Amino acid sequence: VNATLVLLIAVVAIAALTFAIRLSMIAVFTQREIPRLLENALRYVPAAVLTALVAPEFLAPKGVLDLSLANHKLVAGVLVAGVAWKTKGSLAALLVGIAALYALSALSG
Amino acid sequence: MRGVIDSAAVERGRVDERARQRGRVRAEFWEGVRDSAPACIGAIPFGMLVGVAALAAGFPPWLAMFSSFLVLAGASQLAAIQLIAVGAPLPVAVASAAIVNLRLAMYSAALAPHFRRLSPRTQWLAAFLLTDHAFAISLARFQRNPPLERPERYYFGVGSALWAVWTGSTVVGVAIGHRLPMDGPLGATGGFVLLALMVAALRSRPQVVAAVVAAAVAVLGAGIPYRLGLIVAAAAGIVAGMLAERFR
Repeated sequence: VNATLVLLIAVVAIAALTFAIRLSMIAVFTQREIPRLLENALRYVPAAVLTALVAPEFLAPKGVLDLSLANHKLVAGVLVAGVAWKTKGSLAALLVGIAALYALSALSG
Repeated sequence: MRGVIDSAAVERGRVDERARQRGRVRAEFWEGVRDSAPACIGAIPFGMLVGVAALAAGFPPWLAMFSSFLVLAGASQLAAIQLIAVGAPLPVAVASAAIVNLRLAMYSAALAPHFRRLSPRTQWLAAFLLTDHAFAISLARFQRNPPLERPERYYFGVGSALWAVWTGSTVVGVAIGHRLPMDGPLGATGGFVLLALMVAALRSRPQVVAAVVAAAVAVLGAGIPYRLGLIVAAAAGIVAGMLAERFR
């Protein structure tokens, strides 16, 4: 079988499934009211889902929990979180994070 | 006579009002584009990385670019590419990508009330553009003052800017990415922006509880197959937040 064709089918399958997931709740809850319990749950979606997505990258960049100063991503991430908290924006936080990673890798040789 | 003049003036006033409103709605689209700027900057290295990884996994250049254009979900693309690169069966790669993207259903539910006035076709477009960043940036703006006249226009500004930048950066990655140091600090920009958006989403103590529990479960569950750890951690965080709210 043509390897590229197989990859194309995989990409289209991922795109179709992802689109169905994206459309699912929009299709339902533009038509009817959201049940109370679900509405309560949705209040925690940004905090819970975004955290679940980014936490491993900072707390366990090599696959295991690493809370030491040698974990540069964690140190930079703490700075990023602090700046984001202060400024309520993400541009300064992003720049601080990149600068911190460069500085840390320069310091540790 | 008098009545005729008045009705003409009223009609002119209505036309002016409609024009003003159109102007405001257009301004809301561009406000979205502007607010997406940090996320777009952060997406560039990540999109390039996905392009480089796709080539390394055996994708022809056009397919690497086409997948960013069509899928528009970096974490799932990278998960699938990494599995394909180590020779996993394609159905496993497809399933893992879909599972990584299950979280988007939660965003879909949270944004649905803001999309009620859209036609079905426009709702499809809104769904197509739904990403972590588009969701987090838009929802934060919807909860801020002054209220938007047409929230969906703001969302389309954020979403279409991210889509264009994401696709473009994968094209650049495919073209020149192999000459750039992608494993250094630049590879972390996507995570930094998401982290900043996450911090901005913490507005109450139960939400902090939700985040802490989600982080703990995500780290513990990193080894669960098919990348199920992500959705399990998200669900655990949501339940923890709801319990914290009830027992506070």
